[in-house]
Amino acid sequence: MILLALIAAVAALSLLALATDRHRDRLRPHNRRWLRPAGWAMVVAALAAAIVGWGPVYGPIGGIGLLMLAAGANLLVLNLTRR
Amino acid sequence: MGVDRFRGTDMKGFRQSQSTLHTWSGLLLGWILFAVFVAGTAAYWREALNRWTRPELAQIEQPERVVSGAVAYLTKRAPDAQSWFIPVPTTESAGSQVFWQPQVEKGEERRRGRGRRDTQALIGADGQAVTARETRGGDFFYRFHFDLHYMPVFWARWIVGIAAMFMLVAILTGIVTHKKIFRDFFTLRRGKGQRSWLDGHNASAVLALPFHLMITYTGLVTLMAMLMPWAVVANYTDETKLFAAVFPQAPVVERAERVVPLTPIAPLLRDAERELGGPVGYVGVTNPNDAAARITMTRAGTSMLSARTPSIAYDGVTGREVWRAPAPDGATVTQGAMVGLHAGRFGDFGIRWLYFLCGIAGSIMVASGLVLWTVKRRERLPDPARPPFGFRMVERLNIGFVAGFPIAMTLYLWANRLLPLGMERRADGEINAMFVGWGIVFAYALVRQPNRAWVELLGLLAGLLLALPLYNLVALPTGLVATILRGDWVLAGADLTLAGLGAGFAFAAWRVHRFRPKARRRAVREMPVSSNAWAPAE
Repeated sequence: MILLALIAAVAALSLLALATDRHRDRLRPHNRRWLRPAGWAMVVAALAAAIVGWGPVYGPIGGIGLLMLAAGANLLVLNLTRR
Repeated sequence: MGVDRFRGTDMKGFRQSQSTLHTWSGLLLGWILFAVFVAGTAAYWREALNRWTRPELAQIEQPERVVSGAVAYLTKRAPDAQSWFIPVPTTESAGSQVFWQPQVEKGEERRRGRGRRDTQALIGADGQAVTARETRGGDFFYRFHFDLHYMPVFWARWIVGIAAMFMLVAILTGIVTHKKIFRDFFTLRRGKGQRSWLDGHNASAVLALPFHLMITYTGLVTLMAMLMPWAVVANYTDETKLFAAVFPQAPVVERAERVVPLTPIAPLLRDAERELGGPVGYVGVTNPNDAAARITMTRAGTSMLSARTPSIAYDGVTGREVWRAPAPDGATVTQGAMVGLHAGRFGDFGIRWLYFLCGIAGSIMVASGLVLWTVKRRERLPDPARPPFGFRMVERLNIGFVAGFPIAMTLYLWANRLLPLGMERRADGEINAMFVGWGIVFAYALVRQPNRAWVELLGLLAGLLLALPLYNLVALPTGLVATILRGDWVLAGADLTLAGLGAGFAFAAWRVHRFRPKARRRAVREMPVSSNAWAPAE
């Protein structure tokens, strides 16, 4: 379940990152509209999965941690693979 | 943050004041904050470092066996002590560092700080007393994180407390100052000088912002009774009453002076685990081997969020429950949960890694902020060949702390490996080696040309870190190959993490080495945009 939360967190932050002005050129125009709502939905999914996996006390802590990790990973990957 | 909505002069004045506050609170306390942040980050691996620094010890497989062994040892070694203290290890602990309080002889005054060493012992995985090299292990980084060193704890905590308050100020004003952090959430521009430093500073700050706010606030909570004692003073005139409310303890019983053997400890451990709702972390025995013996079991901090863990007391002869801590009130639970959230003891390895990475992000945030101060001002220097004294001092202090403190910590680990095992006061020797080494590095940073010093010291740091796992591989039974084959991922993880950090610093050293500043063509053009040279960039 925690692995699922990690995958959801990475997906969530990837979608949100690709929706920003800096990274939107990586996608074709007609794909862009759904990015942000889908990203936020995945944020909720990641937190929910973390709460199922870690329980109601540690879940939110771990979930926010995973989202921060995913944000950092996306920041590095998206910017360092840019020419 | 909608920057366009705030074009008014009021907002501009507000942001200007915030940015001045951000710059100076960040700079003046930044150096001490950096050391505190880095040591605290390392302290998330306190238990792992405790094991890593004692390679003689076997891995614990049955904690219960260690506790039973500790009781057997203490029964033989100190049968008529006032009290025994036995930490219950986990499979990740280095062992159980037990200690006892001898009876005070009539007519003998209690001397303070006398011979702690001959009233304590380390119990290893097989339940026997073991001798490991004398070291403070990961505990030292933990204590340094709020007690510093070579100074009274009281002053150290005030210094750290004030630094933490400034940190909170710097974070909150930083959110206002760096107005584009949320819009530029995923932006990291490379090779753009000041712009890139700013992006790095903002990214390390904003991506882990929940952690930074949490860790600073809860850090202040751990020191709150010292920093803001008024609520306590107003409500409790009697200090013992305060202690009874905050740390409830079983009533003290007088020694009966009748020798009766202690009840077996293992069944009580299991019963306490059931009753307390989680594994036991600490066993205290008063009046051992006496008819009035008491055994107190306290729940482990690793098993719950709140650091205020409940305890339960048993009759030491019959094993009957005699006392139980009252349910804590709301304020205690709130404070306990905040302290627990700060220390992260509850975390499994996944959560612990998240804490550690957030700690690294915070360290990078402080370090990049310090460097940014010089990067921004260098472009505007009237004569770059001869910068003013203040600029040169900040530049060199940055090297002394940002490169120097991690070098000092690595030297501590090297001293742990290289100091002779039989050395007198060895644990202090390790710490002295760390600070003497730091002093030398600091002096070097003060006299050497800054861009050379950065490369050389980052390179030295990388070399020291990378060589540690290699030394373990060659000289110790806990080399990387052996630990991986044994599946001992705590020790293997420590070696791999050290190597990873070394690689990271090697990369940093290489990047600084290759860096050639561009011609100062932008300086003239930028001058009119921001007339206040002391303000930070956005």
